[in-house]
Amino acid sequence: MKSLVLAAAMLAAGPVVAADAPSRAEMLKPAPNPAWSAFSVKGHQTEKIAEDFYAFRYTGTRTFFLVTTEGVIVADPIGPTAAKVLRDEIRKVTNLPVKYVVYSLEHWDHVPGAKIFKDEGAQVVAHENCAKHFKDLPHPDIVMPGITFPGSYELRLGNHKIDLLYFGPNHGDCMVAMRPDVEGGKYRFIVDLMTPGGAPMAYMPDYSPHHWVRSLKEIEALNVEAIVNGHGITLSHPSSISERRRYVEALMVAVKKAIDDGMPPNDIPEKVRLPEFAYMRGYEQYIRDNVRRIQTCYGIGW
Amino acid sequence: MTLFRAVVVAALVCPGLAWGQASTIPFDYRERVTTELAPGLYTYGNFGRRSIFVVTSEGVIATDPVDPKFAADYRAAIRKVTDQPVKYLVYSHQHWDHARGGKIFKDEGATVISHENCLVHFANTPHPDIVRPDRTIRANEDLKLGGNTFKLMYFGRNHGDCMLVMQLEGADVLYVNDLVTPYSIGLGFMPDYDPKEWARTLREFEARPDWQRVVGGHGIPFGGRDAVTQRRKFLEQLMAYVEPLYAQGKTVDEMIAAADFPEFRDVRGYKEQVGRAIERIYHYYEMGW
Repeated sequence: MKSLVLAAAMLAAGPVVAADAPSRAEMLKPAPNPAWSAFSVKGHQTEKIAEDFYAFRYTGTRTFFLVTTEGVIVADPIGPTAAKVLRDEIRKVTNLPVKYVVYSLEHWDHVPGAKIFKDEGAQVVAHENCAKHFKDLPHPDIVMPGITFPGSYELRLGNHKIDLLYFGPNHGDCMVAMRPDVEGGKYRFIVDLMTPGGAPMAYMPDYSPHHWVRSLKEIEALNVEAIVNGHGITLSHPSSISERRRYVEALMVAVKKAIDDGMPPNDIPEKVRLPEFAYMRGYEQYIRDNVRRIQTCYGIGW
Repeated sequence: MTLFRAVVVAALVCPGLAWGQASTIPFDYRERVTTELAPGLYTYGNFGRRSIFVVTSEGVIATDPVDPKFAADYRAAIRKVTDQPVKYLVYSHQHWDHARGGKIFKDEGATVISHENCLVHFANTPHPDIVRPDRTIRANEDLKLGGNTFKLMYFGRNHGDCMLVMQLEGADVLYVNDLVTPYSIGLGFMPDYDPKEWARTLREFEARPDWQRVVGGHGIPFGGRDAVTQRRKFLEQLMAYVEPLYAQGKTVDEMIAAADFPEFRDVRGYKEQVGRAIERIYHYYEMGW
């Protein structure tokens, strides 16, 4: 599990930080917010976010579950071991069965482990593009979705619903942000597209920079009040989305300018810097590879 | 330039090296040149970018235009070989470093061809210098012109999902863009490569007996069969190295620190790229990407 801890934390958040969790009020202050560095990747934790709406973290990865009058909706199962713990945590809140498991995206650090829920009768829901990835690159612990959809999707159960919001390709091409209807739908569960206070990891695996920025802009326009994060701090102010969007945009502008100015390609990762974002966790470690990724974007259109 | 040429040619012919003996012709680093590979089959380019073209009695089949400047020079280079018009322009794949600049060929009436999966990429990441294909193909197809057959072959996902490999029937040359850059390690981050599908594709090339030389989209004019084997073995050894260490919970840094692939130590780019390559394969096992 050590690998999962490190991998998950590094993937989107920069170096691992463990500390006492800040209060909700502290977490919900806008960017740049030093409290966002105070997250733990040890063990597991269930937090009640709102009535019926619970965040569950297993090591460095977070998911959620929503309790309705007719059963439970679970987001990413994370992995077989995590899913077992998650199921026990759900049992502490309700005896109702899990009726749906919803995947945020196709990546193996989020979606294996749904079998335990499927065995009790849950249906697995995902964007249809995920199914193609699961066929192309099978994983023994990934349950194929039984319900797929081509765009956004509304999942209703009992007294609740979750909107699965699709923004096209960004990090892979089957990513959905989730909007449970609790407290007027003010929360969004977002995986990987941003991690509050952190620079994106290294070569930005499976991100399409232009579409990433576009998706973040579309999410910013949604009138969100709080983000429940797939990695990093539990909750964050919506400016955590803008922080990541502004970083990627600044990176793209700076790299494009260096290319257009004729800077030798090998100099670009050494010279392009974004001092206004140097406060971010992982910046020093990842800026060179972040720059290389954007060079590739302009070089080959990927 | 001369020194570079001398050094690389020496490296290629050095009997002490395990790889690369097959390609010993001199080549230039910067100057783009036309090299005849077989009757009617030419490669044009330099170390940075490379395309091929086929000359027939009824016209020319050109491949990747690269960019507008390259395309203009490429067109002029074709004119030095033949007065025949360019009838077809075939994109090997969608990437901007290969597919830009087709206008000059389109303007003289060439039909632009790509695999159909390229279309979604051209729509998702449009570039003003990319001419959209007039015709797309889904599976292997033979392009016939002037009594010649130019085989367009699709091997599924590997580097993106619309890569076409090409071969002039009767010539022992395979044109394989990016999947092989003869006798080099390639880019460690493996941009837009699926490592497993890449190795599978290379194995499929190796299983075909009908070629002896491979032309890549970058690097020296061509390599031998061992250039394909070398790239495939490097990928396989990387994956075999990372997979168990990932399962044991090792970090990327630990994997890089302990890595040694003796067979590849002297291959161009090894030192610079091996760490990135390990990181890329780590993500493969971590995320399924």
